[in-house]
Amino acid sequence: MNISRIVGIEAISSAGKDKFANFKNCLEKKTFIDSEGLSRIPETTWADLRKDTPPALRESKSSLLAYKGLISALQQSRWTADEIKKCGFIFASTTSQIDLWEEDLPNYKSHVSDNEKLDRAVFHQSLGYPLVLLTKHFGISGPQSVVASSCSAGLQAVALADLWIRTGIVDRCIVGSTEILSDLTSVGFNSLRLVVRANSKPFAKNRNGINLGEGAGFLLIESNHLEKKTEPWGYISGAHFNMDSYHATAPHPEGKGSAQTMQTALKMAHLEPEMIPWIYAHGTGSVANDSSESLAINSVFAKSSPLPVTSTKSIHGHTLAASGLIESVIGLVAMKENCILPTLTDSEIDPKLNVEILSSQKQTSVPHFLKNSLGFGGINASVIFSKECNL
Amino acid sequence: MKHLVAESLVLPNEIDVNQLDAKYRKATMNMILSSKACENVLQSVPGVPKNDISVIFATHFGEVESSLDFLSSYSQTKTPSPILFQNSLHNSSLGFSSLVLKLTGPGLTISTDSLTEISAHKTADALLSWTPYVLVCFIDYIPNELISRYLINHPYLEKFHNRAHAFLYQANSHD
Repeated sequence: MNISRIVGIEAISSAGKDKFANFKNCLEKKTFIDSEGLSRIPETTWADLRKDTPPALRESKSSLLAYKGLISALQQSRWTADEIKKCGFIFASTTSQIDLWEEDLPNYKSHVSDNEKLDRAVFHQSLGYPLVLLTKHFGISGPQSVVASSCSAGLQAVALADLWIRTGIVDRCIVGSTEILSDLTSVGFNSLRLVVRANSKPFAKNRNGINLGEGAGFLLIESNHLEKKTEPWGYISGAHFNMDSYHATAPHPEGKGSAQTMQTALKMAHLEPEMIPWIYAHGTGSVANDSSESLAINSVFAKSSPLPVTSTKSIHGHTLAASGLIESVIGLVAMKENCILPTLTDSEIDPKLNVEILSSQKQTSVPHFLKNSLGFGGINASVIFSKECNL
Repeated sequence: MKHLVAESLVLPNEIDVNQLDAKYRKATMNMILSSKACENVLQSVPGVPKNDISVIFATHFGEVESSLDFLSSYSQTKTPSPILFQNSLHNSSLGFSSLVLKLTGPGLTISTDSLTEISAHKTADALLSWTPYVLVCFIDYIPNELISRYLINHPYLEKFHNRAHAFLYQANSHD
């Protein structure tokens, strides 16, 4: 059987321009949330990122982040130009190049925007356009897909890439995601009264909402049957996703769907729940998410509960589709460093949730960790990352 | 690989919104068309558990009408509509159909520019290693005022726009 080996990773967010800065700031619980409850990449960072970037790839923030994240991950992988050409590429986003269309396109009825602007906006609206630009730039001609399943999209993309490796569709696959803060998302989540204008409090008794962020995450994976050219960051032991069929925006109150994805991922990995020492949660800080996710965790990990559970969304915000990938990257660095990350929650932890929330890092052996995502439309995803190849 | 079990094409002119069940009350045209097409193909496998069916929604522009309505109404009134926002995501159509049709298996929405059709089939092939059936639904509904602009900028949309086309596949027995 083909197992996915991870040979290149990168994360960019408000908490740092690379994976190590993101990891360090999560470890030190340094927050980047502003008074609006948002976490923006600073203008100085955008200016730095634009340097040495081809013009076509810096037109939109989404493509710019994707280019920078991918080029860094590719440098670690030591894939040759021919190997890059044949690899698969799965991208994930819910809004993609929204910075190039949300100003003009919504005015199509009122004729505030001229035809040229409307055409430019329509041209850039396709979620898949950053993937088109990147495949052209890097000469990638293998199978491609763009996953758009709300906040689970990034982790679903990881699970799908793993499935492409396992089933032999590709030997190598790029998985990446970007999300840019936009009016659609910030005004939209505010309209649902979900955004808190302060730091979110994941798993706290008085948790009252989420923070929004922006960024990119990339994983490069290859079959373990290929020659090992670089020291891997880890392996994907199990991955799954499913649907709640419960509510348009709320997760299942007992976490039934999420529990089932975790169980299926464990089964794929041939691991017992007691063998998982750490869960890197979706942990948005909303009342419904943290309750549902905790119930799901407790139902699957009953024998090992309370289990260390981490959310870093109060550091860098919820980056929607990209959250699954950014947080997987941060988790892989933590696994390498034998470290379980703390959670920034300056409030009493909700005892009803029955999860162990660490106020500071814990140095310990981390042979595996499980990453969760939950998304609007009742979409759940779980991926188990392992230090060694278990199968 | 896989073989086709059933297919269904549903067009907007076949929908009488006044005759729809109450569960469609807040639904967008994308949601109505795709749910109807999926319901039709699922009738061909009445006894199959709903978690034995993977579902792929393949859309080039998702819920574009809701997204634009949300942003334009907010720009005019400064009062955002939560319903328009929750209906604006590409994934909203799949979420709605999963609710109406009680689908609990693997599900995802893909939107791969001009490669959406190919990528849906590649993904369907892979998901048949998880479930015995895969339902693929192509759905795109663009506001009338904008359709000509979309077709000029994205000619591949001609084959897909203003319709839902669902296909139910099963893995070949020798796979």
